[in-house]
This record gives sequence, structure tokens and C-alpha cells, in this order.
Amino acid sequence: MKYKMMAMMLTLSLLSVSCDKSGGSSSEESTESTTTVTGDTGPDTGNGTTDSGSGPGGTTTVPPPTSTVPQLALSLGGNITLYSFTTAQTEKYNDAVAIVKKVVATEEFRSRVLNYTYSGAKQFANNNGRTNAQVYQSILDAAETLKPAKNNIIDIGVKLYYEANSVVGWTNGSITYINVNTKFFNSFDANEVAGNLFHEWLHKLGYGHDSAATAKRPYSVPYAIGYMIRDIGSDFL
Amino acid sequence: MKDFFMFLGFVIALNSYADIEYVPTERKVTSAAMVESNRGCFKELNAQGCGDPGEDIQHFRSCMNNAYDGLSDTCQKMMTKLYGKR
Ligand SMILES: [Zn+2]
Repeated sequence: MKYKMMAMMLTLSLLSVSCDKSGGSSSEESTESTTTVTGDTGPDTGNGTTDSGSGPGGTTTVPPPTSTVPQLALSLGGNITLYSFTTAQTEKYNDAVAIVKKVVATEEFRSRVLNYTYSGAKQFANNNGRTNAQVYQSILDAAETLKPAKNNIIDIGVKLYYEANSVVGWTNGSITYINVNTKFFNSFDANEVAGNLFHEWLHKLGYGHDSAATAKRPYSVPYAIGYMIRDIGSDFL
Repeated sequence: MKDFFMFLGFVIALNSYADIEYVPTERKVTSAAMVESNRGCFKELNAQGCGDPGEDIQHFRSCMNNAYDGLSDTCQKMMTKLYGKR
């Protein structure tokens, strides 16, 4: 019985390991200057319409259209720590974070996530057994594996590095930060940075993907939703 | 049973140290003309008192809804795409 269970675990573990890329250095520490982007402190459930300078001519404000975007999508916050960024790099990252928040607050994002199809069904690949609605909710909850409170805040650190290869960025399950290759970062538009940030952050929520460039990989939660952020984000450049 | 948990621990450790990389497919660069057009739309809404969707999204949406009919075709299309049908 014991060995049967172990064999089962081994099979499971091999399956999940094959989704990630093994090996590589994970502990290069350089915590010099730390800048925290976006001072959002989470769900400031500002439901009470703060009518900041309503339109000219004293027009009566009509409530938003039949919106199905939940409140949590409008209030997603970011607690993002940047390590050793220059002023220009910080500015670009701030733009990217702002884009992420604007995109998540759209109906288009909600609809694209909920209606995503892979392999003929409404689902993502590597969805951790979750339906599209549950994946969407997990994004709004923003409970990172290493910071499991459902606080509606993207909690993440970002470290820049340079390497002359084709990797835009990487992270692993034991660290709370992501590593971003300046080779790409410096030439990326802010929406592309936003897409990469979201991709890496989805790993922090526990979603994985194949490490090899399989046909399935683009349909995984991190890739598919990272692309959504990038693509919808181009409207906010 | 003890060795099973040791094994389980080993598997979890192995998994959590695996790096997960992000390799992009082709880049999707937004044309300068497109960026200009999009910005124009948000600028127009801002001028009408809607602010920015990054500041007060609730206000932006209801204000945009009011201003919708006066927006250009492309701007209406973008707002419908982003924020749904009115
Ligand atoms: Zn990844």
C-alpha cells in the first residue's frame, strides 16, 4: 500500500516537474535600493462614487452600463518592490503596473478570461483544476502561494539582471520576487512589461506551464493571461 | 509512513526550486499612430471631466457612458471593446 502510494506520488511529481524548468541559480541577492511602486493599499472599496469634478454643465451622472465587472477587479492594488532600478526604469515599471490595473478593470479582460477556450472547451491549460471563473476569481483574490492572504493586492518584488539569451524573465516557487532581463525590459513597451509582470505573478499564484515550447504552453494560465494583459494593455499606452 | 513524508517533502522542495522562465513569442509592437489615436480618445474623455481610468474607474465609466454619443467612431469602438456594450 505504502509503495503504491509512493508510485502514485512519483508519477504526479514527474508530471508537475515537467511543467517547470529545473536547475539554474535562484539565489542572487542584491537588495540595494528598494522602491515601492504604487502606494495602493488594496481594496479601498470606494464604492461610494467619489464624484471628483463631474462633467461640465452639471449633467446628471448615469450609473455605469450593465457592467458585470466585480468590485474586486476595480480595486486590485499593487505592492511592488523594485530592486536597484534607475529612475527611467522605475518610470517604465510604474506605467506597466498602471496598465495592469486598468486592464483588469475592463469588461474585456473579464470576458476574455471567462470565455477562454483550449482544446475545444472553456478552459485554460495548466489551470490547476480550476474553471475559468475560478481562475478569474483567483486573480482578484491575489493570494500568492508565499503570501496567502486574499488581499486583492499584487505582492511582488522585481529584480533586474542582464543575460544575453532569449529569457525575458524567470522566477521560482521559493522566492517572492521575479527576475527580469534588461535585454528585453529596456526595449519593451510598457504593455509588454505589463504582460510579463502578470505572467510571472501568475506563477506566484501557483500556476505553471510547460518549460519546453510545446503547442500547449501558450494556452497555460500564465501565458494566455499574460498575453491578454499585453494585448488589451496596448489600448492604454 | 515516515519515509513517505520524507519523499513528499523532497518532491515539494524539488518543485519549488524549479525555475519558471518566460520566453516570448514574436513581439507585438503597437504602432505610433495607434498609440496616438488611443491617447486622443482618453484625452478627449479627460477633457470632458472623466479623468483617467487609472484614477477613479467608477467615475470614468459613468462619465464615459454619458459622453459616449459625442465620441468619434474609433473612440466609441474602443470604449465598447474595453468596457462592454452600453
Ligand atoms: Zn512562466
